[in-house]
Amino acid sequence: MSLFLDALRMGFLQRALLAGTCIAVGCACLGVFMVLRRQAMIGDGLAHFTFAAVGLGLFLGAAPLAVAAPLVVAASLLILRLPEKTALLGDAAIGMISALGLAGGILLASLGHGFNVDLFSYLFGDILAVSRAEAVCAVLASLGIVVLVALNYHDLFALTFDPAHARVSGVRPERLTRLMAVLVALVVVLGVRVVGTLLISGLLVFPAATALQIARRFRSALWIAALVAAASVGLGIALAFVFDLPAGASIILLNALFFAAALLRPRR
Amino acid sequence: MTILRATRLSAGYGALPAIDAVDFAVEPGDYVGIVGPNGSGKTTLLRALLGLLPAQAGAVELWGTPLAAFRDWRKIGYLPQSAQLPFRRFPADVREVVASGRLAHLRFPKRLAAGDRAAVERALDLLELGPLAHRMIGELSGGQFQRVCLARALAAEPELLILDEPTSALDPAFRERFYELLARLNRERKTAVLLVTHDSATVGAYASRLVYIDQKIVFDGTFDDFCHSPRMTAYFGAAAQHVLCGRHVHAHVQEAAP
Repeated sequence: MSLFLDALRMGFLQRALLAGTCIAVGCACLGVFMVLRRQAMIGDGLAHFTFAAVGLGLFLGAAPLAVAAPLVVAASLLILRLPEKTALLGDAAIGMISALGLAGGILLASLGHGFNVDLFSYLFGDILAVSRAEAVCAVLASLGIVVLVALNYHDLFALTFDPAHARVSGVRPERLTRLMAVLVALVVVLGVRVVGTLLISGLLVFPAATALQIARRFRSALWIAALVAAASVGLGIALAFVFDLPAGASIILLNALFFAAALLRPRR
Repeated sequence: MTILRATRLSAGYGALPAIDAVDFAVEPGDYVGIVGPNGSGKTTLLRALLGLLPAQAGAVELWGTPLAAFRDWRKIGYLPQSAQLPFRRFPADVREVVASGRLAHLRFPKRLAAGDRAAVERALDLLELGPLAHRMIGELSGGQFQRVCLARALAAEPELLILDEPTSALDPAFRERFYELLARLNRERKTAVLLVTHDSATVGAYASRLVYIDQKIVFDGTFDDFCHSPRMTAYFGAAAQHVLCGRHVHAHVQEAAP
């Protein structure tokens, strides 16, 4: 562990911890709402779409995340819009976007032989390679999410608990739902650097699911989810560094352990 | 000023409207019971009046303001028909859910003030929920949960209460107390009440107006008129009218008496 503490002086590890913690906390806050609204799999669908969007960025020779962000935001809004327009149930739209993303990613990977290694780093994540710009984006995104959730706390609670009642209380559910969808899309794009497209939905679901096993109040659920997320990133990166493990997988497996502990803890 | 006015309002879920060209108004101090058979458009009417379902035709005004421009939602307390028990681990206790009834009163940065908290406590007391205030919402029975949703509607201390089948999960004793509570709020606070129910006889005993709907408004008047109207006898038949007016029970009792 002293090896890790010494290494904390290194910029790449500081950036990894900062970006990872910020993204994880942002995912955790959003995840509580997504899980309670039965929309947790949106993260999974968007992650797969991110694979194609990042692939497109690499194919075009542009900054992958800059290309991916607007495309994934559009895909997120499309997931909301498709059921309204086509009478499809919500998870069917997620499945379609998810498959579309994977197919696009695979196609681009086969077309652009030169960037497969880069593309796979987005598939599995490469938190130790987070750039300064990505770390700044992660901090800003996380701050934005926390501030928006704090300012809209009562509206989000009402919307999550009973959308019809929320609307008659003056909440505009469509606007708030779209805002959440945009935020989820942004953390998913930024999060692929942390744990990769294959695992990013775990950062949305696991901390929220763990918090829901413990919390008795809505506000506590948000706090617990954020703490679990931050702890899993810190410990996960430390374990990965010390034992030379993949960081993304370590973070998600630690999340699974926290969930199991919450599930098995003695209840009042 | 008229609280709520619907003019030639049509709404529904497909090509065929569930309610068709309905004219309807609620005045201050009204206590209106809306009754009708399954699929007659009772819930559709409430949802269209509140903008939860877009109108296919016609217009709605709340306190003289067109529905699309209406923003003063703190004047309305609402209990949806679809109030279903949340999943067991929903992280909120009873007080927190009732407090969400104050949402329309909150102004930026949306913090509950002392007045809001006092209103929440009053609503908890009115629905006899004090002992359950710290209970997690997912741990309640269906009847207790319905009382929480009613308390949430009352916590707004609204000028108009819109309740969609508010007593469907309540036990008979509490149902009676609830109707008495509504009558008291209507009498003492002048809260207008608009209530959908299948229980025409019970609501008829308390409401100042009974509206019978079956896609269109079939009857709008007092319960007494409803039960004695030859037009309604011709519409339902005498036996069905007796059932709607709750007289079949008395008739059986009288037949069984020595």
